[in-house]
Amino acid sequence: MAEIRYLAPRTLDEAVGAFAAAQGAARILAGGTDLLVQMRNGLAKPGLIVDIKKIAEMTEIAELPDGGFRIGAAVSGAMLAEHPRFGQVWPGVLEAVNLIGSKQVQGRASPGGNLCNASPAGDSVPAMIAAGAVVTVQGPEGRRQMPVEAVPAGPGRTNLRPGEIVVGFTLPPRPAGSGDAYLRMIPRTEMDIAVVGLGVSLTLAGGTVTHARVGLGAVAPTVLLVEEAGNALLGSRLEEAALDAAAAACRAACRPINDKRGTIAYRTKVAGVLLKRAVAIAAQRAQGGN
Amino acid sequence: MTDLSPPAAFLAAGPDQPRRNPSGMGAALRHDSALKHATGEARFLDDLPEPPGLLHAALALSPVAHGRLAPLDPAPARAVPGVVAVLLPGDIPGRNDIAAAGTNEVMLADGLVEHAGQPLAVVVGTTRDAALAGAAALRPEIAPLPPVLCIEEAIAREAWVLPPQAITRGDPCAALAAAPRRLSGEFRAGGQEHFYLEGQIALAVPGEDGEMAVQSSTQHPTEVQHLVARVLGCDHNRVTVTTRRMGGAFGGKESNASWVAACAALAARRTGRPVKLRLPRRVDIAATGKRHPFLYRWTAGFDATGRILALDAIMAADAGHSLDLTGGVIFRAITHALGPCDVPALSVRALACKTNTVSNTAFRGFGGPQGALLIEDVVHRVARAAGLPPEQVRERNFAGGGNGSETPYGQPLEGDLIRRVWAEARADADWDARRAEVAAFNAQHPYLRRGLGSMVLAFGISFGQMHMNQAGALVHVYADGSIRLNHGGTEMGQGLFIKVAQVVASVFGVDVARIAITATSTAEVPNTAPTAASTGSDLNGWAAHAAASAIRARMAEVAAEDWGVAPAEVEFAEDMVRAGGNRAMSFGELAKLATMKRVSLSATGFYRTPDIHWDRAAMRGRPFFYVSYGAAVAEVAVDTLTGEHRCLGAWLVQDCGRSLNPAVDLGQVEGAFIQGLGWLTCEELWWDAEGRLRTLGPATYKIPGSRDVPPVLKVRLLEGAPARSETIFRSKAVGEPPLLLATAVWNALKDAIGTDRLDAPATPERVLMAIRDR
Ligand SMILES: Cc1cc2nc3c(=O)[nH]c(=O)nc-3n(C[C@H](O)[C@H](O)[C@H](O)COP(=O)(O)OP(=O)(O)OC[C@H]3O[C@@H](n4cnc5c(N)ncnc54)[C@H](O)[C@@H]3O)c2cc1C
Repeated sequence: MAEIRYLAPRTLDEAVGAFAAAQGAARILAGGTDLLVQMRNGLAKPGLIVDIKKIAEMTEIAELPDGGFRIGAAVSGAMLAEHPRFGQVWPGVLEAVNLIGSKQVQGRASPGGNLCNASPAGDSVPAMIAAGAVVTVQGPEGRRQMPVEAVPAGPGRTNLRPGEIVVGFTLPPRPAGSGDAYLRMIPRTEMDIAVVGLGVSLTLAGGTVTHARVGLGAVAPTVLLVEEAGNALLGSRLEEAALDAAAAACRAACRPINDKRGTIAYRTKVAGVLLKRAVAIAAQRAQGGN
Repeated sequence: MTDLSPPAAFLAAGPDQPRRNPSGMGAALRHDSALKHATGEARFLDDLPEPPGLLHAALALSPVAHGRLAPLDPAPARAVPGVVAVLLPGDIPGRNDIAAAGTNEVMLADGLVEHAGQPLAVVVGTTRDAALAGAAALRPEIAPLPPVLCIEEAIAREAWVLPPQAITRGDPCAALAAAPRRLSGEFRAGGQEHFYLEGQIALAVPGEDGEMAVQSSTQHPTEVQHLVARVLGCDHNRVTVTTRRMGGAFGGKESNASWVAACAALAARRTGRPVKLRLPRRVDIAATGKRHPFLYRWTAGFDATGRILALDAIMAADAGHSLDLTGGVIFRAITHALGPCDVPALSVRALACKTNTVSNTAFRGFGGPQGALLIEDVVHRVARAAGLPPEQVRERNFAGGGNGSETPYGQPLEGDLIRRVWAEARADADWDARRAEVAAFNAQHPYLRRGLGSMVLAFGISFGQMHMNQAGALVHVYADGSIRLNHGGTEMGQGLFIKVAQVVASVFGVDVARIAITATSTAEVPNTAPTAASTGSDLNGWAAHAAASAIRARMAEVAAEDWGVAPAEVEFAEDMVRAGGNRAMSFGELAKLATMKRVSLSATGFYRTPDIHWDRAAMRGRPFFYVSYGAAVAEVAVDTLTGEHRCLGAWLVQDCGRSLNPAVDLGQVEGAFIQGLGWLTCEELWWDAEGRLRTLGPATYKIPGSRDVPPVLKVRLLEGAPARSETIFRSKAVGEPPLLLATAVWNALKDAIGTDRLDAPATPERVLMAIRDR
């Protein structure tokens, strides 16, 4: 194997500097649960590895004064699960992050890695999109923000510019009457990759939907924000007709491929089913159940 | 409590009688390596210290399913730093032929490529990474030919690896015409990857005078010896093959381990240095055979009571590109196509289809599980057509009772045991109450559906190849009374070694701890059969029994002479040797005495299964020494909107005769059931349109996980049913039969969704599509 350099800088500036200077020969290392596997299989051959876990901002979970949350990109699923408040406010996002892999993988895998790996089937991404999360990105030209759904560009590709690192996710404050949920369909009971993944975030006022977002994974080259599905729910009281329309919007958004994990017909059908089920869970949470 | 019964009674019991020894027969001892498996101290081949000067090999595989291969240019691999040699067909000193049963199956493709994943070259390097990089650097030039990728196409072209075989009885055409009702069906069952945890591996060390010492993770050291000798062009006596243990095999290391070892030996011969070949998982899955997929087409005639009067069926197996062990698989499929049932008039034809896929091979059950699906499908469909429960239809057709009690080819079946295992499984599951519960649940749930299914199996024990039913053992007793046991069977985690040690312990009346269990070696016991067909304990147990008995007889004479009693009065029990109530010495003291008296304490034992025969031309005979029975009930829940399903409970009753070791046997039943569950519900091999297998690892190929084990799993060995044939201590084989019990889950899924046809594996997607097509 060729020589690989390893850096674990303490500051973001150092990390960005080294990452940008390597001009594409470097890879960011968060939990490594994608990167190390890819290296072992010869799919990734970085000359430099920049480990971001020593940078404080990358591994912090902060509850913001306005009630929102800021999650460092390299926070592990296990850390997020242990946070006393996060799972109460964003149970759907937490579920999605905690579906990644097994206990062992949870100790390492991060939402930042899940997003930047840009798999169409990344589990945390649809939930983050539904949550309306925004990522903060830092690169040689400074900081910028972009919605989660703008990050993936295609299987294994992102819209990050050369040298840019995802610093963290900002989740908006939660009005009363809000709830979210994530469901995925996998052919076996554990340790599997989604055939369809679907996240929903809702706010209800007096039984009427005042805010709805739907994220849909594993059915297109990137995880999708399905605005039509959210719009179909908006203003409704989650009547059958609204649910049918939202499910139809999800099915229409599917642009899957036939492959070893599932056929087009199957993925499309399941997308509609998951929409209804995830909405039911999110609505129940919004109304104070869990 | 101490056993107070007199030792005489103990000894009087012949080998086919029960003995009461805490560590002998019937003791639920744990696997001899269980603790070492848990702590990691158990050494698998790749854990062994590496010999100095070791080189590593890697295989270059064909990316194309069918085509003309131009002579491979080794230069790109040679250019990789660390690569020492690139071995092509021309480098083989002996024959480029790895056929296990037939002839002319190439080890390295020569001019013609017949499946994607076929080995083209062995690349040898100073490190494994160098060898792998060298293999990846090769650029085979293959002019593609159209591949045959499915069973239907092979049938249309009559492309067989072996002529069709058929079993017939009576006049099925006339019986079909005369039957009150007729029905036809078609379905398919997929293949299965063995997914042994320890992949294929061999280490070959060249010695002087053309010797080659091979350590191999194999079920069949003798065949490794033969193939290595064939490929190297040397006598068998130059090659010694040793196997201490495998990390799982399941049939995947019966014939496939041989060519892996032959590749390592070729590299060792050509370089003059020790060579290890360990296949990476992706290469292992691409290059080694799997369970045969089957396509079934049948027509049955039946009456209103569900009695099946006639059956005309075709079972088409996908053999892949070469024969390998397909002949035996086909044989077992047609001999097991009626399961425990009797059909008076039938024709079952088995086709061995040649396709451009990896050559399919032995897999736990060896065609038996595929055979049994036929009658299960017929029963299910006839039941639906007649408006009867499938269980009632199956019972109506059980062999024995008023029905015929012999298989169409002449093997007797025990109708009483068939009915007993079924009655017990039914009772264990509390069938009627459960049925009512399921109906009540289904009446109220909007989209979940529960289902109940069952299975009854009859599985013949013996190798279909008559000559394979033999075994040898070698036992030494040392001067301190410690015992060394060696036999031709191999340990793959199934617990064979502890069972055979228990046999020997009970012959000598000693604690099993006195016995050293040793690696299988062609140098100690020659000309052995593979450890396969569930026969390991049956064959090797008897062989070891014979060896130990020979030594015990000599020891008894020594004691008798010393004490002035008759040899028949000398008893071996509780690590002591006694006679006449007042004579006693320890087993070790007697061993010492025997060596002082210049009596040999070493013996070989040999066994060949009696009473079996098969007439290939007539397709009749009694090929099985005996038949094992079992029954199962399974309950499932199906999400009818996504097709997801779970097995909620399973109640299994398996006939093991008088179990040699109930702990080991229960483990085998549980494992076989879960492996069968995987085959029938989640393990899917997926080829792309070019014929490349795309499920080459655990991320895409789905073996059951720990959470797929049903929350309620009740496994019981049938009690009070010693084998009626003269098996070792009246035990019965257990390795393969219980895999068929998982068919209950397939049946339960069909019950839950009310469908006629459900192809296996019944993945969520297939279940959902079956609901849609219903
Ligand atoms: C056994 C197993 C099971 C798995 N199961 C699942 C599953 O169920 N669902 C699922 O979605 N995934 C699964 N995965 C994949 C993987 O665990 C997840 O994608 C995980 O979230 C990746 O996070 P990580 O921190 O380990 O990423 P890493 O491997 O460290 O990084 C992944 C990629 O993102 C880049 N990257 C990481 N952080 C940043 C950053 N801050 N800025 C820019 N680029 C960055 C890396 O360079 C790399 O290309 C599984 C993996 C394994 C090994």
